[in-house]
Amino acid sequence: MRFSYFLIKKLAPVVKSKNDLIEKLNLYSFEAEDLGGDVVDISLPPNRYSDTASHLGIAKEIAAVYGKKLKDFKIKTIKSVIKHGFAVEIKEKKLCKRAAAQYFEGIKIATSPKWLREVLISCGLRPINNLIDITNYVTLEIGQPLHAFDVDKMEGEKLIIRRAKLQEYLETLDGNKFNLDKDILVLADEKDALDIAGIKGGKKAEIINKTKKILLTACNFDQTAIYQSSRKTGVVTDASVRFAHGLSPALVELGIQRAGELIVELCGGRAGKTTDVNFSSLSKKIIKFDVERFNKFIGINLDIKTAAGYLKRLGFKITKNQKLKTKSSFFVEIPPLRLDIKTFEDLAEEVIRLYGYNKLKSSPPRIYITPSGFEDELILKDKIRKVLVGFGLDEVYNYSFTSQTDTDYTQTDTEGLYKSVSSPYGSALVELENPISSQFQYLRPSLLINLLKNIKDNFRFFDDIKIFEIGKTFFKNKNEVNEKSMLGIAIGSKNKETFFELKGVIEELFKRIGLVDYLIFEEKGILLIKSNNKKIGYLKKEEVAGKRFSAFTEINLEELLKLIEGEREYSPLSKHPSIMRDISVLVSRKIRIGDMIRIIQISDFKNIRDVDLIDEYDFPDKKSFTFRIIFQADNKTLTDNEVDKEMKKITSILQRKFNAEIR
Amino acid sequence: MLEKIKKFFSKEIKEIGDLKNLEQLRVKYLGRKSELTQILRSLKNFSIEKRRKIGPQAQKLKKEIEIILTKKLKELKAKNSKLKVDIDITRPGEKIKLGHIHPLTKIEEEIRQIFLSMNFSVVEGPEVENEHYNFDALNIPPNHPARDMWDTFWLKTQTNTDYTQIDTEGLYKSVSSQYKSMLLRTHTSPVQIRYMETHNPPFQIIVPGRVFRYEAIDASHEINFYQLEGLIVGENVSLANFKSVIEEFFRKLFGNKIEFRFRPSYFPFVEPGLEVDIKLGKDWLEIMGAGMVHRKVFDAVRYNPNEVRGIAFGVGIDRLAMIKYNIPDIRLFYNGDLRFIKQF
Repeated sequence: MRFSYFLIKKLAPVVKSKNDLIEKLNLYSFEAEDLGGDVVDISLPPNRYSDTASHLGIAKEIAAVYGKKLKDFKIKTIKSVIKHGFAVEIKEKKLCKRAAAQYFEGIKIATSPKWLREVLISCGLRPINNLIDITNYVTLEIGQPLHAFDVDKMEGEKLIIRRAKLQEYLETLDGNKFNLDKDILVLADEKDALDIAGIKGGKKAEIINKTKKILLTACNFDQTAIYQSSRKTGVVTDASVRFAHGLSPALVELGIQRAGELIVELCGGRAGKTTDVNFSSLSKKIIKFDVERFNKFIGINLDIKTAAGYLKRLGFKITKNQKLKTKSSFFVEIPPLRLDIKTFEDLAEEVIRLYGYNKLKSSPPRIYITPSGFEDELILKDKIRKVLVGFGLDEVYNYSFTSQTDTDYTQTDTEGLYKSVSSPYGSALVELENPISSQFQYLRPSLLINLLKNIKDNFRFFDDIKIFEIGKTFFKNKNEVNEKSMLGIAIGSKNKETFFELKGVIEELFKRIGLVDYLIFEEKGILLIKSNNKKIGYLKKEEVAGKRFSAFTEINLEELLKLIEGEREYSPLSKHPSIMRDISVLVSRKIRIGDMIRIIQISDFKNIRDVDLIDEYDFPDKKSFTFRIIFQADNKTLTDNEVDKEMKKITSILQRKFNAEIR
Repeated sequence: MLEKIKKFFSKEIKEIGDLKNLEQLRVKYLGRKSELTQILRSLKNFSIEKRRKIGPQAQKLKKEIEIILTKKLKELKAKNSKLKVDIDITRPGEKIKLGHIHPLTKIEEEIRQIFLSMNFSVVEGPEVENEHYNFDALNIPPNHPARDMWDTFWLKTQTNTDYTQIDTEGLYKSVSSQYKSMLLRTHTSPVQIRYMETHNPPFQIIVPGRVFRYEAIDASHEINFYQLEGLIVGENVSLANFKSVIEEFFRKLFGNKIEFRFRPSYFPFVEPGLEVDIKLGKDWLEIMGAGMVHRKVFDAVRYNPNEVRGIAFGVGIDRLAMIKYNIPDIRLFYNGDLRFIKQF
């Protein structure tokens, strides 16, 4: 909120300079910034509008910081010289706790004096005429929004605060037209709505140059009602912002008196009667302040008088008959404008911030020795990161957002490189109510959409790219949003097929993190990873265009976590030598390598330690593969004879099952 | 005899070019079955006179052969090692291809280690939240301008959850099966609520995680970024303790040449509320929001606010990384450019 340094200084002469004001406010009260010239920008906390969204409020605050008493702000009470006055009727006591109206006549509309215009300009307002400027100026000075109506244009002599009627209509001062409804509060004469309460004045009773008789009004509206109406109508004004933050009904009286004083002085008005209808609670708010409790809470040792002193500076009253010397606590009367002070902690804040947070000595906490540690999933993620970085993969972070086009199954990007990036889990996209743009309209259902983009982008600078990301993916399941922790890996190359490197990475990763029992099997052109009968991930090869290759995988970390079998145990090294045999087979192109290896592994052959593919050749209609089989027994040294016997069985099963020609 | 041995040995040693042959030669002339050994062994069968004549000669020859063999051995070894060092050891080392951890992971790990050393535990929470955890339970009521401090992404989905709602007087009202709007969490603070609902004090935790804000993207603003939340709850926790923990943390992260400034601030879930500024070079940097946990937050998780006290703080991880690694633009973290990642 913009403030005029000139006006603050006038109200609080104790302020040394603008720089000093800004520095002190920053350290003891609110964030403040110099906007140049007379203007100071102060970021008021949302709960302090009632007492500090005004120059008088800031003056009181800064005087308390300096520790100097502020001169009383005196308002000259004006005598009503005319007996005439308006009735005020509040139909919604919950939404309008207080409303005051004062009648004036003999108004001469003219230009405001220079000092007044300058304050308005500093605060970002446009001077209009003396009457309207006074209502705005008093709002800036006291903090109470005000509005004046041209009485000659009103019907009847009554101001009514009510809900708008069905299909009621209002044209605002700036010419916008609104269809109102019962959720919107209005100020009305006996016939029409004149003003959207707390938000904007209407055209009907607008002040013009010929205006002679006016009704000056000040009201207190419910903050939630104004916040909602402002949202609903889409109109945000200085007044609506103030009301939405909550103002004290006590401001109504101050505002209308101060404006009356200036109207008589600057517009030559003759004052009529004031009607003030007040439904707000008049009881005083009292809170107990226990200094021992304060000292423990803050970690300090203030004596009771010092603590009380800080509160007094801010205008809090220490209720009488309390001898502070003999007591450890006292009762505090809260000033009516301080709507933010509700509890002991609120008072504690006032004391310690005026004392100064920087003066408070730090002291190490007595921390309880409860075992500390990381959650299991965090440990797993850390482990995976270490392993993958060890394998030469780089970690990337991508947006959690994606677009329709990017998630579209069949969508091909401009270079025709990547297709079908959707996860095989099937997904219902989670859509944002208020996306920042169509590019970020949905939450990502898969990490791969962005990983593949990363590969494409990085091909501009690198020939071989190996990346991974650990992050959340989202999809809808009925009305619930399913949020999953995922690991995505993508390997791309301009020169060579990358799928098997990826497969190797996955297998070695599982070994390192302790996943032992899993299956990788082919289904509709992708490899699914299954463990304990649950799909935990998949591997997929990208369609290739030109000489670019990429492959990717996605693994569900929550499922993975459930399957990991703790620490690996040592298994004794075999004392007996291993025997290695190679076998080369020629098979039809349709035969899958995985099937052959599995047959060798799972059939009833003895002492096979490992099966690996070591060589392959392509012929026009056939393929040749060389497998290396390693035999080893735990309890004896195998003889060539024993191994030969097994090799014969393997040969025969490969011949039988795959029609293989042994070479 | 001895003359003959000497003559042959002298001839053969010249032809030896490697260690293996040298060993064979040694066995041939000095081994158990060698002629010379035979001669020395058979001395006892000879007459004293013959013994006196041949003995010293044979011993002398043995020594001579040993010396020559040793000399040759040294020669060969020297020659071999010369072969081995025949590389230019000043050439550059081979490039070891290790991957790179993302700078945000790197700094988060460092932060976690610092807090772990102060006996904090690390927990995480969901990124999609409902209004209750992100706002209501944190004393940020609906239709209040305080909510506007967090620009929120809302989802086109509503959730059907049981939860406890606090009414204006701070009393409990159990509202079951009420539809609540879903959103992307705007801070990691909802995890405070989730943790306190299921744990009893005393404890101290940190919560790192991704958060979201509806904002225009520029060099210092992103629509997703990382935050770290801290929470200490116990019977005797004080604001002075907060200062100590935070100063310790920043000193460990940025070194001892750091200055601090604590300023009043406002967050609905703390009272008092503070802002922490640090100074590493010329300028003050606004870095952290913090305060003593508000009693309404304790109310929401059914702790007795008169029996426990808490410290809460929040810091932007991206911002810490930008300061520590001198990164000028927050967008670099999220565009996957490996020219950037490979620097870490």
